[in-house]
Amino acid sequence: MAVKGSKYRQLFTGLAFIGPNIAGVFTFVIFPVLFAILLAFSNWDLTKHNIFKDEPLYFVGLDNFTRLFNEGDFVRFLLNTLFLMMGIPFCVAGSLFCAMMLNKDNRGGGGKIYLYLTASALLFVGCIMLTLVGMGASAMTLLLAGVGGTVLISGLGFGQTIFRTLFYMPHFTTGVATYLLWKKLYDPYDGPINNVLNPVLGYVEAGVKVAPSPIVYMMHLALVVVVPVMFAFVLKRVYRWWQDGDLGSQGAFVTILITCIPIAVLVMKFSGFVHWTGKLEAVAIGGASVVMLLLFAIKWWNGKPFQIVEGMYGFGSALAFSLLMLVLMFIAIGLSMVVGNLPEMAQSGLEAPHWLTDYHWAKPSLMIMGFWAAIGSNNMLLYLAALTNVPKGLYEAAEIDGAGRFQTFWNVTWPQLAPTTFFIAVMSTIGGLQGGFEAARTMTEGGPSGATTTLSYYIYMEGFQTGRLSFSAALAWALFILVFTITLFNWKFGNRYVND
Amino acid sequence: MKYIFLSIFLVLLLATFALLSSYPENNTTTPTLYWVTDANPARKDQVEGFQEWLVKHNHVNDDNEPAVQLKLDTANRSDDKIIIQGVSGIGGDILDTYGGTGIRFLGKIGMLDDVTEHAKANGYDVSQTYAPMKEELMVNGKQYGFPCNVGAQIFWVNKDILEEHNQPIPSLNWTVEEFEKLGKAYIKSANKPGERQKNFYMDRIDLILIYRSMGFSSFNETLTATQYNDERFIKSLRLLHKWTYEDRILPSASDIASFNSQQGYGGANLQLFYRGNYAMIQTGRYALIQLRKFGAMNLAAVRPPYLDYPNTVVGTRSAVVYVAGKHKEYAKLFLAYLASEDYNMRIVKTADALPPNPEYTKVEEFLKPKDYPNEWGCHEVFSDAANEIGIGYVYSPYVLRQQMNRYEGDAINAVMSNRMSAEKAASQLQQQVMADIKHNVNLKKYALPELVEQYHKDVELQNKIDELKKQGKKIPLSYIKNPFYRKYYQDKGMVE
Repeated sequence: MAVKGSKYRQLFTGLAFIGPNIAGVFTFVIFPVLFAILLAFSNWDLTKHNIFKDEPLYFVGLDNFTRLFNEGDFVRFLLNTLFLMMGIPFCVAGSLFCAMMLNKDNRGGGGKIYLYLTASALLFVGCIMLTLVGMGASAMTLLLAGVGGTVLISGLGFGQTIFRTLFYMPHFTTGVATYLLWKKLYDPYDGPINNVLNPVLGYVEAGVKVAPSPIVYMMHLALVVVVPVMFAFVLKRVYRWWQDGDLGSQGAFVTILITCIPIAVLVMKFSGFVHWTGKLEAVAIGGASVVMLLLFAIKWWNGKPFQIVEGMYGFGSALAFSLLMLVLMFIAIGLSMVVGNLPEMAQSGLEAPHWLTDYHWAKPSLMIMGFWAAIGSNNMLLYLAALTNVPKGLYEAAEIDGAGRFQTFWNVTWPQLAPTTFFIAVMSTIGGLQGGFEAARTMTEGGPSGATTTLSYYIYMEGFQTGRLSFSAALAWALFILVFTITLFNWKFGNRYVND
Repeated sequence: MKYIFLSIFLVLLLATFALLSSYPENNTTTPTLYWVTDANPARKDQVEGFQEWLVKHNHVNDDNEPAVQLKLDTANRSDDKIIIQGVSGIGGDILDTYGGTGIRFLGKIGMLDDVTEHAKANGYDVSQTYAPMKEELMVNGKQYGFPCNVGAQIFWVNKDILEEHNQPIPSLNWTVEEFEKLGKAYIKSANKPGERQKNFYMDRIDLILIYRSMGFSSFNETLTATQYNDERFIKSLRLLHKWTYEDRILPSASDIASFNSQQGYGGANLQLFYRGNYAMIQTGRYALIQLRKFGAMNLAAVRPPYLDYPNTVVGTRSAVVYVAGKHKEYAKLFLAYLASEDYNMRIVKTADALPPNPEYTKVEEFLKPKDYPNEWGCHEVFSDAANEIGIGYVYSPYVLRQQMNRYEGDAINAVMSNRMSAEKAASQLQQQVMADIKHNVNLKKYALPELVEQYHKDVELQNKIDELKKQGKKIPLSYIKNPFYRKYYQDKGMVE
């Protein structure tokens, strides 16, 4: 009998603990979410439907959703959001790199610690003396360099803990505070970033002015050549995966198609076929088809046996790889264009970007800031935890097989981290689609000219500034559908398991 | 563990009760009014004035103390907070709104109490304030608030800095050509060649001042359509770009971002003006609240430059009564206080813009404040401008002003960041606003029938106006709903 009484008591205690939470979830999450569905299909407007107004509420079908696509703003702000998300692969790669670095024990030995402390003390004394004799700027530079050095030295002295703390710091610093800090860093004239960039650009300007134009042109061409080289690398990889049965034909085609886009851009730029402009898709699809046929031909010519796999097999990894290469190829194209235009730009004077106040630089500015915040975030912690779980035996086996560092990483570490990478990729994608609100509100108010307005900020503006709650709900649901689709896609094609 | 949780629960419960008991209304039987307003240092004085006014006018309780206590709520002033709290039934009793935009939007929501009758009975109807305020306070013949202050956009001039650079002080009425010429000369004199420019002639010029000075308004006469494709609007965009990036009379967004200034009340511009980075600033009389704190500086005030038609924009921060407030009658008394001599003289003395009642701009304390001889000759520039050349903003019932502001801001930014030509930006802006208007009046069965009916009537009226204009005939004043064109056509003798 006592046991039965105890069971009820336990049940009651358990419910008492989770009850408030469940009530909270129902009230503040589930109910609003369901209510938002109704809103999205109605004409609910704060000016017509609220506690003071009782105008009839109509079911408007898909009107709010069709309006999303009729008004240019939705597509524009969606593209802004997607542009900011282009930084995600780099953030994930950065987190992994940091985690790997922080996973190593770099502690120095013996009496080195005293040496480091003495060096630090000397540095600070030196800075103070420089300031006292009126060389504040030099002291500041020395101090900044010194702080960086001290951090490294501290790591050698005290081990990983100090680095782990420092790298995780952006994550537990209040968002608004960091945004204000970055706003100062991005100051177009007096900000530290441009204070560093301007002298560098000055040297570049001077160098470009005196450099013979063929040299600049060769540099420009070299960067252009990097793009087909990258494409060749993609082809090589895809071909091997395809050959080995790690990738299906459809997956191979999509991968090639994606990486054909920068090649198509280059072809259109350099071929002189101006009338092709606006037919990028046609060029890319045509190019990808030709390349696929060529690969088929090579396979047939080599007479190597086909590993027949399902068409979409390995699609997720290949897609991630091709998107990463796509971004890198576009960076190379961008750099080549910058170098190509350098002589002309140098004549009018090279100037550091105006970052947040420049329409074209505002988005990359937020992206860079996001990169800084993301590499030391929870992603890094997840990777750190995952790295400790990689069986040591695998590394030993790789070492015995004579694998180098890169081979060990590619064939042991990376596959073992697949579930973590999958989780991080899904969460980062969701976060990326939903994010951008705080930064846009604090740093740019969505400007200049809507350049940094993301979907989440747009939802807020429509809901609380213009009162069009139904339209705002439709926006939120469109965003949800997008998030859900991408997550499903990730789920289907992503590498969720170690043995994938 | 459960004891720890229980203890925490009890502590939180106690803290809740402690917080509740700290609310002003829980410590007294006197009703408490909350005034949701900005963090202007002058508000405290205005609150004290209200308490004194209540006693003076016998609005007292049994203990002969003010019948109501007024508390400031400066933490909830943003528009989104006012709306969210308002529609949730927990808004402040008295709300500050900026001009007709706020009044129209909150009124449309149904959050505002109609004070028309109370205003007539208690001496704060629209006849007690400046003529352009009618549009800002009244919607469909109903009055919803009363101005806390009135702001005419005028250029404050830092005489010291102009004299330092041997530049003339502009005349009260000046043209855009003169502005440009003097501005260029000042920039050349105030900045060393080869160094980054840190001194500018002006902090900003609102686009509306430029295009209105060419006799153009964003809306047509009946407010049924915008006309951004007009050459005058495009010209004003080009001028703004030219003054910012070619003549460098005005600072660019990057220049502004680079100024390291503390943001006191009224923003960083006032400090930059005092420091001499801006020789002039476009603002209201309320700039003096902060400028007086910085120290004495020789000031002048001039009207905005014009191309063809001298004018300026007049706006207001008005107080409105929340319809679901607990003490609406007392809140309305606050509006009556705003029209009183006690309040107006406080505005006169603290220089918190223009007093709501123009009568108080004629007193000696306004024209020549004893402690501030450096300001003599400036104050009447603001009051005269509000009375003579001041025109309020234009609001169409067919499109939300907030939405238009966003589109306009985007268009201006697009031109200023060289993303679009002035023509393209204007054309895009026209398309955006017209799409909104069409959407609002074409909403199948769920559009407001009276709005649609009104729209069609107004469109017919507009056709008549267009026909009359084509024939070169005068237009009946009653046809014109746009306040800008009402004054402009009257001044130009174009109305019957």
